[in-house]
Amino acid sequence: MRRIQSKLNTNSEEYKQFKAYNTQVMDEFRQKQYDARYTRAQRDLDRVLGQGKMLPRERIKLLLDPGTPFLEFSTMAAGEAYDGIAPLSGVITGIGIVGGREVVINCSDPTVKGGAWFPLTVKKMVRALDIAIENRLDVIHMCDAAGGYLPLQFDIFGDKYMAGRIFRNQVQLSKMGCKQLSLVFGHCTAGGAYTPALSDYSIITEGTGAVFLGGPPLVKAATGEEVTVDELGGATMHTTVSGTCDYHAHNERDAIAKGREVVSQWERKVKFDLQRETPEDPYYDPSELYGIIPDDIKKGFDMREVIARMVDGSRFAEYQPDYGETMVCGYANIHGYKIGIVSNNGVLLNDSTLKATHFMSLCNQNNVPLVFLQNITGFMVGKEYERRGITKDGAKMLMVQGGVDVPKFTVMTNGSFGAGNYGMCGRSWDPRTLFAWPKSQTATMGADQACKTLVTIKINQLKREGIEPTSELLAEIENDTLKGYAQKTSAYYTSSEIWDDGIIDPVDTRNALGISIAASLNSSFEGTNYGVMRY
Amino acid sequence: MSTDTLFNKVLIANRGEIALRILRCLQQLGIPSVAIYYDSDRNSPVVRQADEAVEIFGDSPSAAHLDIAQIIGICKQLGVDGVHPCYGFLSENAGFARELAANDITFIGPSAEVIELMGDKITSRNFVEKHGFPVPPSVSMDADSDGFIDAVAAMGFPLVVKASAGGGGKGMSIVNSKDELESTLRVAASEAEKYFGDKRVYVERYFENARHIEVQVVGDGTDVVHLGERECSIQRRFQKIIEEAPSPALDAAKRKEVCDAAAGIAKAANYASAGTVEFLYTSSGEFFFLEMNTRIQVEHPVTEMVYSVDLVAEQVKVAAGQPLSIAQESVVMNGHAVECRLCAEDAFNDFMPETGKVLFLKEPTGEGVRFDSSLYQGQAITTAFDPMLAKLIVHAPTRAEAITGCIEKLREMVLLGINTNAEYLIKVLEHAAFKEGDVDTGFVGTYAEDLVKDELSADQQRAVLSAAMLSDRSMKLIMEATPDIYASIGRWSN
Amino acid sequence: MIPKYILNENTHEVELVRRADNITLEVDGHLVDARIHWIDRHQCELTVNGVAREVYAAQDDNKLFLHLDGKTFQLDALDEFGEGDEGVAGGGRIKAPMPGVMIESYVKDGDTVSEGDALMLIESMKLQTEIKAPVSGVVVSLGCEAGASFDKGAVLVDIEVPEAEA
Repeated sequence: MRRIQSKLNTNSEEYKQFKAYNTQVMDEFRQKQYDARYTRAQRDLDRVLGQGKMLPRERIKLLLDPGTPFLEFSTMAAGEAYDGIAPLSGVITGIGIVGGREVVINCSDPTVKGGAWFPLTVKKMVRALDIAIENRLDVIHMCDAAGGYLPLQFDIFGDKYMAGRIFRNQVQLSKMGCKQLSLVFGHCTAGGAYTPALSDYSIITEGTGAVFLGGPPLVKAATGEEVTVDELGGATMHTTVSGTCDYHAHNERDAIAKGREVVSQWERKVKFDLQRETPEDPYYDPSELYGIIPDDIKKGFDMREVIARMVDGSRFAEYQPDYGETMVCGYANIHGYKIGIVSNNGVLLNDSTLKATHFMSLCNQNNVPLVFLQNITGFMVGKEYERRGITKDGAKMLMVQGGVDVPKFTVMTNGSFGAGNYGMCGRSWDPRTLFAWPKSQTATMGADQACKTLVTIKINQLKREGIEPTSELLAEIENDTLKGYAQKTSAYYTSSEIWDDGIIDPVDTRNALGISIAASLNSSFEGTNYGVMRY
Repeated sequence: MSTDTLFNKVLIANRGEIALRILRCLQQLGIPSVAIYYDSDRNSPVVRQADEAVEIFGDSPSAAHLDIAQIIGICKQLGVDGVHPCYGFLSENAGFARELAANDITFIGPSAEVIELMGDKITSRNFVEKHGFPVPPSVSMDADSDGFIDAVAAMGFPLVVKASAGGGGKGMSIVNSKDELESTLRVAASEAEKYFGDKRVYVERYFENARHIEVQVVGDGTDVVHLGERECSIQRRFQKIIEEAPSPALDAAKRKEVCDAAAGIAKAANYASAGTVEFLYTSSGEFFFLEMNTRIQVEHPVTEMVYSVDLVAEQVKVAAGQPLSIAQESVVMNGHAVECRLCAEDAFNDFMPETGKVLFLKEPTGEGVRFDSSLYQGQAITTAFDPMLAKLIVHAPTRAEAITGCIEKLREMVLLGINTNAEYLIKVLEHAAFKEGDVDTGFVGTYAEDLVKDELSADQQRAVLSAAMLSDRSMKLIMEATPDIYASIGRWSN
Repeated sequence: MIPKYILNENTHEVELVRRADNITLEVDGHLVDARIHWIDRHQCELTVNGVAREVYAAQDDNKLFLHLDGKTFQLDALDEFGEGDEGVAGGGRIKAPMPGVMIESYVKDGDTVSEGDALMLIESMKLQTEIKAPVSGVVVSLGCEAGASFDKGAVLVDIEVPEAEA
């Protein structure tokens, strides 16, 4: 494998301009992420700390193995929803290492509305458990949630992917042999009570932990019975009388320590033997990515420069370098793991579509996981391309991409528009993880195109009504359309809605992918084989 | 020399380093050996290395080792004709010596009469005084008797209270005022009774800036040879921790004066074995008889190294009826030797005893280095016995070299699993006053402010903490369980 | 989790940062570059910030013993888990100030004692010490019998203070 020869000129004006722009973009992202993680009303912090509780991130830090990473999902979830009252959507999820095993962490954040479940809280939890299911990961639930967020209760209950899905996923995980541990730090009321109950192991903290279907007020209302929290579902009751919980913990530290002991007893999964080399840092400095990604989504860039700052030793074995040049495909290693990269250097044409399709078949046959680096405006449109069967070729790409058995991972680097999103393994196509860079956009089409289309429709509509639009009116229509479009295509919106697993700093992509790949190896991905077709 | 004239079989009535030391000598002399041990010493080297080993029983390890009837029973059963008592336990028990004699077994030590004479502080003092050797002012009578307190107080303070039948610092305490006198006497009497079965105490003037200098003698009942003196002033709680030979305080003339006195006392007692005459040596050059120890001493190796004599072999031969193999004219003092007693204690915290388990031991080695111990991996260190774990003795041409050698070897030695006074010993050895030879029995107290733990440099502290974390078994297990990829990504979060 | 060690009565955090060819640790907030090569179970060569040292190490449960730079160090690996048990020791509980042997107990379970009463005689390092009652109350449990040895920190006696006086 040869090292990519970077053509990046770090002294160029363009590089400096992009770097300045992206540095600002990252500062903004980090500030937003910091606020989502840590900025809380003092009274919320006081309430939690006043109960003698630890903050959720302290709990996670104590739980995880020393010197190991934590890949957090969807830190911007609900960031643009509910007027911003539910940062992180009230739950911390991610992949961490406990006792040398990857586990999915599902940790309520009681500093956000007491950890109450908003619709997006449920979505984020369901997604975390889906990740566990897809990757056969064990799960540690850290329970400290008030229950459903009542003003929005009709949006969290009833439908297939709403709250019930959390428990359904817990059952599915158990069926697959994935272990679950619940650490009960706070109240698990109503549906929440099933999380520890459906876990293989549960540890409940003295004093603050409680599990019950209905809390004391509800019991009083329903039957008139007066009962204390401890009597109803406290640590002693559940570990000595009901057997709902397994271990009694003196305090949270004790609970976490016991939790670590429990996890270290779990069987260690045999990992799929994916080809792995000794890991090596990229030869080119990943921070140079800031000078590569343009300051305008319409400006193009060479994806090889990105790959060079993401893969081991910046080495890349490019596939069909002289054919279908708007796709860049090839083999590389990330943290030692062999992967196949499918990435865009322009619009999808017939030849580039078929090249990607062929390459994905090769990877599938060779058990090489696929990494998609999306920067795609879509499949080429127009008479010429339809005549060449661009739709038919696109269907081939979808059929193969959707059909491969190897794990797939997607990164939204810049644009993700139209059916290009599908071909390049967008959210609907089950990538094991999907991360977005802060300035990436996802939509059916680009803003300008969409705007022109919408304006054209509007003019036609007005003309049918006999109104000849003035230039002022046209400008106003165009402006309104663009503004709304920009907001809803931005990564902050898509991430708020959990269409991805979070916005990440481009520099962090290598680690995020490394962890995602390693976590995907808990089950074999060898599937049914057929010959590789040259499309 | 024929071994026929020595013993058929010798029982070592002791434990620990000294038992092993005696065993080595018996092996060299070709004498079959018997070790006795309490359950907790089952795995000790002397038990494994002696020709025979017999378990002894009792309410406590000490009680078992003091059980005369049991030990004599074992001797008779195994055909033992000699018993070496070492130091401590029954080493200065005249009753034991008599019982053995009654059973035709030789006590490898002086006669019961001499033990009795020297074993009692009051009679020995009178004996020495009678023969014209100097003794310190003192009061001795039954503490319960009328007028005792007044008589004692009349002597002036400070005073030192000792068990009349005592030795080795046990049951000793200093009294600075009349207020403390009564309670101190009571506790001292209780201790004396416990250790020696004799609650009589004895009070003498306490000389604060005096040195403890003792003279090694060996006699065969006819001749007495002295093997120079040992300086044993570095003490804590009346327990010696650093001894050396010769004393830096004596010039040749003074040495002859002190050593001749010691030999004279031993000769007056027709002494037949190895023994030690202890003196108080004042800053003005006066010396007073303190006591005579009728046994082999803990610190005997410094003398052995300086004089190239095997004191235990002399004891054994004399006990077997042979004359001394050395004469005063033939022994030559050569170089300097320093002994450090390695103890299980927190020397920087009032010498509090420490317990633990020997997890790892790397003994110091080298030319002129002697390490007397019976430490073994896995050994539990409890408070059931004396806190002394081992003795490091370094012999070199000069005092300065011997001190440097000791420091070096204390640093080289590795003993893990129990806190020891090694660092403290180094602090004493490095102390300017010690290097000057300017010591007295108050040294440890006088320089308490200097004898404190060194502050760790930031760099050293980080090294220690890093080593701790990287060697911590639970951390090693966690690290081993961490897949490579996560170890190399490390503590990271997006 | 954050490994913590007590050295000379101070608690120190030793975080693992990264472990590849070299090991990066964060000791009390300072990054340390370390490299360790084990020669056998107890001996290793440890390089910290470029300075190589021969280190001997042994462990007895949570007690760590290290020998380096000619000195022996004893550290306690802090047990995060035990904290829940703290605070139980009340005014009437006497813990052994040092390891030793119980010589004689002057009281038995159920005895009423007054503050300052002699409770027992313990011995350590050839020194006998009388343990006196810190409070008035009833002896609810004796930590050991006469002749038994105990370690530092062992509970020697528990005295329950009657409600009215508490």
